[in-house]
Amino acid sequence: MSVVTALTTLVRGTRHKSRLSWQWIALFLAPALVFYCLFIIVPVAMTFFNSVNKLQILGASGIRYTFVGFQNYNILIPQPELTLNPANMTFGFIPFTLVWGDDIFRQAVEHSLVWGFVSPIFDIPFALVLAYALYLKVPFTRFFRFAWFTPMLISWVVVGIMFRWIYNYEWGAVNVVLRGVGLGSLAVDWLGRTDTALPALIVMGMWKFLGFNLILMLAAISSVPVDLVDAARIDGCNWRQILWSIVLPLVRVTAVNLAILDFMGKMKAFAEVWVTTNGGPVYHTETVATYMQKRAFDWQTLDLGYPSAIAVLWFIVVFGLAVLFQRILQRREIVEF
Amino acid sequence: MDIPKTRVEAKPSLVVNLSNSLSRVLALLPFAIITVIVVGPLIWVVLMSFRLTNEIFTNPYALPIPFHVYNYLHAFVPPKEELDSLAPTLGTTPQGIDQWLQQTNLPDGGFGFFHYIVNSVIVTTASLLIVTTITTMAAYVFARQRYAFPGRGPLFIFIFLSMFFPPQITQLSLFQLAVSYKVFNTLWSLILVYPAMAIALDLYLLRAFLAQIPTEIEDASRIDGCNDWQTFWKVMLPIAKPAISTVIIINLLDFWNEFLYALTLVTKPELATIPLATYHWVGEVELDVGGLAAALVISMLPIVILYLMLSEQFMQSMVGGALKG
Repeated sequence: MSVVTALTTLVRGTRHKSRLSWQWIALFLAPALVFYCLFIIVPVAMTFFNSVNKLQILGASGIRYTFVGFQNYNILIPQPELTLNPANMTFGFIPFTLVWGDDIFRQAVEHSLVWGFVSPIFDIPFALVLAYALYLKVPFTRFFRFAWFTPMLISWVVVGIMFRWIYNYEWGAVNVVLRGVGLGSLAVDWLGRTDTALPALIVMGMWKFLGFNLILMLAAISSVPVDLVDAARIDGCNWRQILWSIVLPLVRVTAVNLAILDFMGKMKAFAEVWVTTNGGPVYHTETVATYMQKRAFDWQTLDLGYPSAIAVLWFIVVFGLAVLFQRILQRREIVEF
Repeated sequence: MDIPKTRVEAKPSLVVNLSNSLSRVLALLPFAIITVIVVGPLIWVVLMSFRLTNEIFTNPYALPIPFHVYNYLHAFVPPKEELDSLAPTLGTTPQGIDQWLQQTNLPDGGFGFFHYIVNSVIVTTASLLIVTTITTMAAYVFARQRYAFPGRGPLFIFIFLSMFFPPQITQLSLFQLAVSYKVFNTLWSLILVYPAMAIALDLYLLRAFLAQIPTEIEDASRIDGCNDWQTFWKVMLPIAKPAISTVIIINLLDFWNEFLYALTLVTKPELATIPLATYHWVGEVELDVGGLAAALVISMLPIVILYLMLSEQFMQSMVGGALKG
């Protein structure tokens, strides 16, 4: 309500019909705003502030702040350096090479990005095909939906410990099956090898989210008008053509949304790594979240400034990408029904 | 937002084209295999939890014959020191307890899992109460035309955006704040932080629902003499029940399974929530597969039981809350 209307109301001495009852608004909003400010806004601001400081924890109570400017960021952000040797060019054609001040951070970023890009490539098409198959009136659809969704409810701690056993070299289910079908030579210590650990974790994520992706795809496919599908069938389309030319274009938005959701989730991957490999072997599954946790609490550096800088950088990347994707989609909801 | 049920109209069907029952079974085979891959590990863990660890190491894939509940005893019996201090209340002496522990083959006592279940129940219930109350109230203001104060839209978007914050951005500062305000290593730290992390999503879902309720209902209650609070409490809340239950289910899962903040804010073993306690236990007895299997089953059981009872609602809620990044 503008000041003018407010004044008019006052002068007229009549109650304006849509007068705002501020006392009720305050009463209803205050608790949520208090929580939001104290536990989201204040900590976020603190993290930004901490990231340009060195924070030494001195015993139980005291923390000593030393302002260091952008020193932390200078270490974290890769610096471009002019290069004339084609072999060292970034992506093979930009005449710069990226020099990373913190090599473990580089690995962490790479793993998070690889995870974030690889997962949706497998998850979403797989979910789409399965959902389409269920849509084509496979018997027991309700049972399959119900059963496949279960892993979604289970905490990463439980899933992680379970997969440590499943990937066990001697008696894990994967190797037992491989040996059983005569492929014993392929049996390896899945989580213990530098080249298989990250793929093994990616598969673990696929296991957990299969049912979730499937249900969303199924919902999207079921909202495809039946008339369209019927018409196509009468015109003699087979199920592959229907999938490709009718269903797929109509569920594209959901598919893209799910892919974004999947990507964002992997960007924050923490518990799944912490419980299974703890970033190992030799940093080959380190993600940004686990590396920050280690720098803050495990490395005995007693400095919260550097991990805060990691948090801020990653916040900007994740949040920036989220907003960017939203913009591209031109919609506020990630998932539309 | 509903998940459409399996439709009854004619659809192109895989199965109709498959005339004999053999090909029918073959068509189901891929689905059966996926079901085994998805559900198999869970059943395997349940089976292992009823077998002794040395039996598991001889053959990890066998039925629990003979059937043992030793792992569950191991998980639930408190540690020896705690039992000793409880001895008078239990009407025995420390010697008596020693004897019993020897008999049950738990010389050092068990893991005391009940304790962690209590912690988890306290934290989850308290956080759920807080977050449901505060977000429903706030969502009411954000949803109804009556409260459209200037700046309401931007404020909502401002709160909504926090949905995309990675938890790392608040994690270290919350640790620091918890230490300075003496809530570090108390359940309070979790009870205060969990609601905050759920505000954005809950507000979004509840607002969307509350905004659909026709204004006439609100007006009618006001004409009947209700003030704003009474209108909210007696008229709007009952209508909003479906949305509130959706939000509760999503939050329940999030809080019950939460690991990152618990790991950061609670380092005392006796204050651990279930996921954290399970994680601690793995660190202690990595090779006791049977015992750990029991712990995993105990961790999943409450949620899985709820899921068995309310599976459709769980699926709908999680799908409805899917926009969480």
